[in-house]
Amino acid sequence: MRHLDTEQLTLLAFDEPSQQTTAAAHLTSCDTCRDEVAELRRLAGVVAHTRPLRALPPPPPRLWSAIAAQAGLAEAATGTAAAPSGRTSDAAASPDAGSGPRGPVRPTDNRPPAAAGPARQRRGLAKLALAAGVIAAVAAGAVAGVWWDRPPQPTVLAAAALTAYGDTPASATGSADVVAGNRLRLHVAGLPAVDGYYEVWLIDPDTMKMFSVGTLGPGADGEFSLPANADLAAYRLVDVSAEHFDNNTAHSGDSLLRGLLT
Amino acid sequence: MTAQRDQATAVVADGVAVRFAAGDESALREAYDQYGSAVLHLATRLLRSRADAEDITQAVFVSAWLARDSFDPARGSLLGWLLAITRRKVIDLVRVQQRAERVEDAIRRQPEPPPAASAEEVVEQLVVADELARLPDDQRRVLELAFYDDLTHQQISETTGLALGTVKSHIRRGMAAIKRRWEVDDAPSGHRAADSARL
Repeated sequence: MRHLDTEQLTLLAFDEPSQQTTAAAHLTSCDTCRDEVAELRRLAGVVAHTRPLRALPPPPPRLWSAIAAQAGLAEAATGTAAAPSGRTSDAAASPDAGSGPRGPVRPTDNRPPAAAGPARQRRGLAKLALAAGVIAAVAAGAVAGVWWDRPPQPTVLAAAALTAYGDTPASATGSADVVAGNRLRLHVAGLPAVDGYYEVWLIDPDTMKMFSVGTLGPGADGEFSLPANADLAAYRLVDVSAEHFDNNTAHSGDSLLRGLLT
Repeated sequence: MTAQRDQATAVVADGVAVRFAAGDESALREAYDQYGSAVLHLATRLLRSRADAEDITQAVFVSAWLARDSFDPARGSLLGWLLAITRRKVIDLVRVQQRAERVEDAIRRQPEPPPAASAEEVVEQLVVADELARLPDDQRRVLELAFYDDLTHQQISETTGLALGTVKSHIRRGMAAIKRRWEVDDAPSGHRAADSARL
């Protein structure tokens, strides 16, 4: 038996069978071609649903900065320092300068030679990968204690990009660095006004146990001492909450920013 | 002319996948510009919290970059791979949240309702939309008229001025291209799931 060709199958799938009587007749006796038409019809249904997906809104700009930083890109490392002169014109032309795209320019200038570089960098980053983002909770057991050897800034032992949590306006952002000497350095921006004060917590997302690191003045940066025995492999979720003057020392439940230390 | 230009586009797009796998940092930015919205869309459809969906999007690109060695452009598209990682991360996040809710409710809000959409459906829609966007202009236009505007082949011929035979051949070729991509990226995948499970 001779099967239908692609054109016949496609036309059948598109409900124009009136001109395809011979082909339609073939379907009644051929499972292979009938399955093929059914597949094409299902695919046609998928295609019909793609219209709203053709112009999806882009993610908020701050996401890229966080990705570049966490992925250890050269542009992220230089983004906070003075920009190399060659970069300036690119940055000026780019709408989100600083963290922005650099087109096809290869960032070889800031990287160690390929032979030594990637392998060394990869080893540290592969561990980071396990801890990157929210998935860290699952992998935490495997990576406990490994983030200390993270290159390239030896004084920063772990860092978290803080993003708006829950109903907090997406414009609220922050970053937290754990630096040598059991210090937590916090930078926040765009926090909504509260009727009380901001408090900083470290949370173990596996158990939701937490301890307070300290309070933060209105919209300011802060640096806090951590207990020398704090287990940052477990208590790795940095949380900034809105607290009220209510004599209740527990977490209010109103988290404004969160981010995982990696 | 048109076909040539689109062919060039396809080559460049594949080039992003290859350069991504090779560790070219600019490819991460290009992949993000190209597919960040698709990853965010999938995460948003699967999770109720917009903030969680954005966290997932961030984690997907970071993990994909750090695990780029395990991405093989010959085995599937970069978008398909990113979406597989997204699904995996959403599942892990939901598990963590459920566990956290059991243990301590102190800082959680209302329990979240179950996911809003089937991941398979959203993934295949995103993959198909991406392939549709890569088709040569004429093929794409004809398929859009057929599927989005529900025109018959005859009506498409009248609207576009293309001969009826040309309309049919555009539909056949366009559908064949989409179907190939659909089968590669949406195949009930052993290997892609295995890759993303390691992340």
